[in-house]
This record gives sequence, C-alpha cells and structure tokens, in this order.
Amino acid sequence: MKSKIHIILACLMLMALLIPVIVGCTPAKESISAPTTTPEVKKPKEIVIYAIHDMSGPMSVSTMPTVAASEDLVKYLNSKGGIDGVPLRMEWHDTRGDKAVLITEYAKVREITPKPLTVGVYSSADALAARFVEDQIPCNTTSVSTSMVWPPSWIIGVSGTYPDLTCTFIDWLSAEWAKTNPDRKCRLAFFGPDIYVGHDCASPEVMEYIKTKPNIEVVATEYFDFRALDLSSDILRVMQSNPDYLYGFYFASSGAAFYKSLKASGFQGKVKVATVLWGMQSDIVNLVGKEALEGVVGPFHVPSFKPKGQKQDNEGMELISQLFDQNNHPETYRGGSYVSGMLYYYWVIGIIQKAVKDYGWDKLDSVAVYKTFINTRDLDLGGISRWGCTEGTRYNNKCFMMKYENGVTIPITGTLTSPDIRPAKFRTAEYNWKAAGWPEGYFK
Amino acid sequence: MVNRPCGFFNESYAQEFIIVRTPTQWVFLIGALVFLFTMPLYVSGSILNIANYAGIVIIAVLGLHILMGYCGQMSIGQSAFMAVGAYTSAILVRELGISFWVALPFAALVTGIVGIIVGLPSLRVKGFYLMMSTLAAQIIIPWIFGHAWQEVTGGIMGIDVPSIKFFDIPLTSPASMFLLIWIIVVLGTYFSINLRRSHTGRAFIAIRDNDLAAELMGISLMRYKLLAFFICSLYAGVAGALWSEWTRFLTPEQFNISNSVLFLGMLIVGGLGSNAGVFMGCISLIILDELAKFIAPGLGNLLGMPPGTVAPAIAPFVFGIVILLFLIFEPRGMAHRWEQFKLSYRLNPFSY
Repeated sequence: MKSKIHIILACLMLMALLIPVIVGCTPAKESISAPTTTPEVKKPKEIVIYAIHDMSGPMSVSTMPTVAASEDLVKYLNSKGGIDGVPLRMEWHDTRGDKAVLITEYAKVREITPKPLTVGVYSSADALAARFVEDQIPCNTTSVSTSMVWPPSWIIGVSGTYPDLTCTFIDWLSAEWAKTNPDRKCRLAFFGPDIYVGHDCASPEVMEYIKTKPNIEVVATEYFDFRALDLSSDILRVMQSNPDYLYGFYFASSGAAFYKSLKASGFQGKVKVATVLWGMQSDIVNLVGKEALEGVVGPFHVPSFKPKGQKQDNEGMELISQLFDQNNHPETYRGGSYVSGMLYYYWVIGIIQKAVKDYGWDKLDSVAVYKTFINTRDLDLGGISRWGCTEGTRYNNKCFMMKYENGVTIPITGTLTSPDIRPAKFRTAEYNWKAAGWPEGYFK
Repeated sequence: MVNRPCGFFNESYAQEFIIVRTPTQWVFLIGALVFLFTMPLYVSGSILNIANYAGIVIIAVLGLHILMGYCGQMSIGQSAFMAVGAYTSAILVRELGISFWVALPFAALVTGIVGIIVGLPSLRVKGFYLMMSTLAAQIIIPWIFGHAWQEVTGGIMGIDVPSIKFFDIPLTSPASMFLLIWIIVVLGTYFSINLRRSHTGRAFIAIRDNDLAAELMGISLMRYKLLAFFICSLYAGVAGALWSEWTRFLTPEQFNISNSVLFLGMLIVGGLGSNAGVFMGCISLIILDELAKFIAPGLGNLLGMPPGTVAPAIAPFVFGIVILLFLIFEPRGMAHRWEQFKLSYRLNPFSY
C-alpha cells in the first residue's frame, strides 16, 4: 500500500512538472490591434484608475487624505465630462503596508480585462518592478525611492527620488548659508528612520554630492526605529555632534515622534530642521500641532492650501480648497497630503488624457500610457506645480523648496530642477541589464 | 468497510502504518491531487497567486506545527527563520550564480542550523520564556539582514531576486510558481504525517506531553528539542526560499513579527498537532481575508462610508474576531471539530 502512494505521488509530480512547460512557459500571444479603418472609434464605457495603497498600517494617516482627494477629483472631472465624455472611476486595493498583500492585490489587478492602463502603488512599488516590466503595465507612485526607479523600469514617480530631493535641499542650503554665514561651514546631521527611505536620503551618492559643497560638513548620520514612540535618547545622541541643521524623513507617526521628542528634549528652536517630502504634511501637524513645525524647510513638489476662509494663492489651489469644503472632509485632512493626493491623480489622469490625444481611443493601452509618461518633459499640474522627467529617468525632476509657516507649507523658491543623483553604477553608459536580471532589450 | 462505518481493525504492523485506509479515501486523495495540480489549467492567475501565498504560508506553518504541535515548544520567530531561508537562497542565486534548485536545499539547511542555535534556550526554559527567546531571534535576524553585510543583503533598501529557471525557461508565471510551491507543500505534508508515526515523532509527542517523564524513559531532551527546532526551521527555510522567488524582491521588513503572529494564529485556528488543521487554519484565514476584501467596498457603500475607509478596517477586525472566537469556543481548532463531525457521522444514528 505504501509503495502505491509513492507511485501515485511520483506520477502526479511528473505531471505537475510538465504542466509549467505547457501553461507557464507558453510564449505571450502577440496583441492584435483593432482595424484602424473603422470610421466610428469606440470609446470605453469608463476609465478605471487602479490604486494599490497603504490604506491601513503605519502610513495610512498620510494615505487617507490622498484617497479622499482623488475621489473628489474624479467626481469633479466626471461632472465636467470625464476624459472626452468617458467617465473616470477609482478602484482601491489596500496593502496594509504588507508586501505580500501588495503582490496578491497586484496579481488581481493585472488579471482585469481590459488591461489596466496604469496602476498606482503608494509605496514599495520596487517589490513589483520586474512584474510591471513583464506585464507592460506602467506603475505610478508617489513615494519614490532609488530602488524603485533604478534601473529604470515601468515605475514612474510623481516626485523626485529622495537623493535628488535631498541634493536639491543641499544646493539651496549651500547658497543660503553662503549668504548668512560666509565664515564657517554649515554642520549638517542626517537623522532619519531606519527604513529604506531614511537610508535613501543619506545614500553614498548624496554624500559624494555634499563633498562638492565646500561650506557644508556632514557631522553625523544616525537612524532611529521607525516605530518608536519616543526618540529623546536618539536626539540627544545626534545633538552631541552640535549640528546647525537636522535633515531626515520625518513621516507619519515617526515624524510625530520626532517633533515631540525634539521638543521634549529641549532642542526645539535650537537646531534647524529640514525634511524631505512628507515631513511637513497635515498628518504630522494633526499629531503634534502647528508650532512644532514652524520654520521647518524642505524640498517638495506640492505646497499646501491656506486655512479655511483665506484666499488661496492661485486658481488651482482655490478649486482644490472648494472641492475640499464641498465634500465635507474632516478638518484633519486639510493640508498638504490632500493637495498632493489631488495633484498626484491629476497627474495620472493628465497623462491618460495626453495619451488619448496622442494615440487616439483606438490605440489607447498601457503601452501608450507608458510612452506618454516617459516622454512628458513638462506638464502643468493645475497651475500649482509641474511634472516632467528627463531622457532615461522615470521620475519628476522638478520641485520647490518649501517652508512651514503659520500652518501652511509655502514655496520659498521658484520651480527648481533637481540634480541627477542616480546610483553610481547607472552612470555608466553600458549597464548590463540582462545580467541584472532584466529582460533583454526592455530599456532602450 | 468502504466508509469504515463500524471500525477498521489492524491485523498487522504494516496495517498500522497505512495512511490511506479505505477506497473512498483513495478516491478523495487522488481526486484532490488531480484537482490541485490541474488548477493552473482553469483558474485565473490572481487566484493562483493567492494559492501561491497560501502554499508558502502552509509550508511555514507546517514547520511551526511540528515544533509546537508535536514537540510542544513555543516559537514566535518563524517569520525570522523564513528570512534566513529567503536571504540565503537569494544571495546564492544572485551573488554566486548558483541554481535555485541547489540554493533551495542549502537555504533550508542553513536555516535549520540557525534554528538549532535559536532553540538552544529550550534546554533551559519552557513556555512563554522560550517564546521570549524566539522573539529575540525575531527581532535580531531581520535587523542583521538590514544592517550587516549590506553590499550583499542590500540592507534596508532590499535586493532583487532573479527568477527561477527550469532548463533556461524562467518560471515567472503564477501557474509555474503554483506547481513548484504546491509540489513542495505535498512533500512537506507527507513528511510531516510520517514524522508523527516515526520514532522521532513519538519522542516529540512524549516531550510535549511530559518532558520529565520522557527523559526518564530515555529520550534525550537536548537531541529531540533541538531536532524539532531544526525541522521547524528547515520548513521555514524552504518557505523563505520560495518566498524570495515569489516576491522577487526582499527587504527585512517583509519578515516582521506580524507574520509570525499570523502563523501562530493560523495554527491555533486550525488546531495544534493536526496536519489537516494546518491546512484548515491557513486556507480558512486566507479565504476569510479575501472575502473581507471582497465585501468591504459593498459594505462601505451600504453604510454610507467614504470609499476606501471600510476595506482597511474590516480584514484585521475579522482576523481578530475569528481568533477570539476560536480561543473561547474551540481552542482545539477546526481539526478537532472536523474529527467530531466524522465521529458522529460514523456512529450515526447512535449517539456513541
């Protein structure tokens, strides 16, 4: 009897080993394009924008205003006729901040017919980088780490990478410091969470870049536990190096822990704070209060709107403010996260709209959208910000330097072009894509 | 006789060792295996992908089941052991160009050795104290992968993992991964079932029931406790190596304590000490999770909640409630309930 089991199991194993050859390894079918001679171009019933976001977990405080903003945007655009009369719809998938869930949720999205034009992934898109290439689905993302966009793939970032943004800050700091303190170097300490974004801000390439600035000296590079609720001892440690500026990624609950601990340890106001991207957002303000962030500077591509009742700086911001009020969101959502969420999907929809214009409805597919993404050099985002990538890069190279003042983040510079701080190995022209595990010829 | 309504009496030692006893069981087994291995022909890629995740989780939980269910040793570090397997396999494939088929057993072996080291405190401490020592491993191991030898591990930033090749054909589709993972699940289950009936398995159970009595009977506690940790970690190593190929991107944060707790929860819901319970616990919780995601948007509309607000809340809520209900009403898990159902079916119409 026992040997029977062995024989049956062996047969099944053999069968199972042969099935991949039949099922898994069958070459992909060539796509057949619709005849172009059809006089009436058939438009789709709707355009679905798929978004796989960290809607729960440690980043959710920042994500939920984004969700609200994009729904408001879609509602508004649909009231104006959508894209050429075709309505838009958002479809949400939650990752819970878990990569396994991200992968299974993406597997569901990629199976949908018609094939998604683009998929939004809030963070950790790098876990799917190879899959986006294989499936030929462009991914749009908002939190852009180096590993997401290098080597360049089908992941496209609404903002710059953390090293690019950090070096934009370095440029600004160097120029400002030269004006105010020409006699001595600025003592800069990197102090960020011990996760990939924290390390990305102080990458070896960033350190190399800082060496080109004679008036900036890095005096410390320290990391803290992303989930820690109190950072007093970490702050004491980094403050021993007597920095003029603390720079890091003060995000969501870890950002709140940072600002609270800075105040508790008596260093608030004694050291200047700069933070990349999300560290000046409404979610942090809600947790620690406006005063804690007063005077914080940092590079970002989106300002926030002014408090309720105040006149906004431009028409785009005025509209966003109106949409916020019309949709009765909690006041805690009022801030940069809502605006950046709005502009994030304004960018995605803008690219789809451009793809429709450039390729037509009959040729609108994920490849057309991808090509539109990577060939867009300068796109106006509602008069508030701009988006554009360069040849060979897949992320925004434009941002402002921002300052948190009286409850809002305001641009203190015009639109800046970030320096290209790509990883050293991608600076060589002949990077061996195939050896790195990427399909041959995918990047030209 | 076919359905064993009145009992089945073994007449030889060989019969004692039979796993599949009746023709009905044979039909079900063969049917289930045929259904399983032909699934890629008629199931969508997204379902296969969930099945792939379930398969990897089952392998990890099978290891935990051997350690906790058979041998009675506590562990809350299974996710960290998976990290060892995942990184070992990924580094071997990526940095040394070794085939995944060689890297897989090597990763399992390395993880097994790490498991022995982590299991050493089991010789001195038991229960929650032992759990604390495995918790230490759960904290230390991912930290090491995030901070030590970063040029190889990729540190916090993570590393890409090249896809598996089968005679130069990359196995990247959900279907091919499904077959690979589920072959290993079947083999792992077969080994686990047989282990229980072996000398080693009986020694494990003796230690679980009363370690002092087991020692008095001549069972070496050191040998068998460490062996249990070795086998548990071996499974975790295999699960980790498969995980690395399934995700094709590794970061230390993937192997967090939440996953270890989840594995433990699956084992509790399924029933400690039962192979069938491992499958029941893992599959039911994963299906429940998917159902929660499926009904969440509709539920949100029904309750008039803004889009995207119910979905994040409902799945963790359901998971918590299920664990709570099982701990209160059926602490011996689904497997026990299934055994009771079978027993009542056999005895029907009599009550005993």
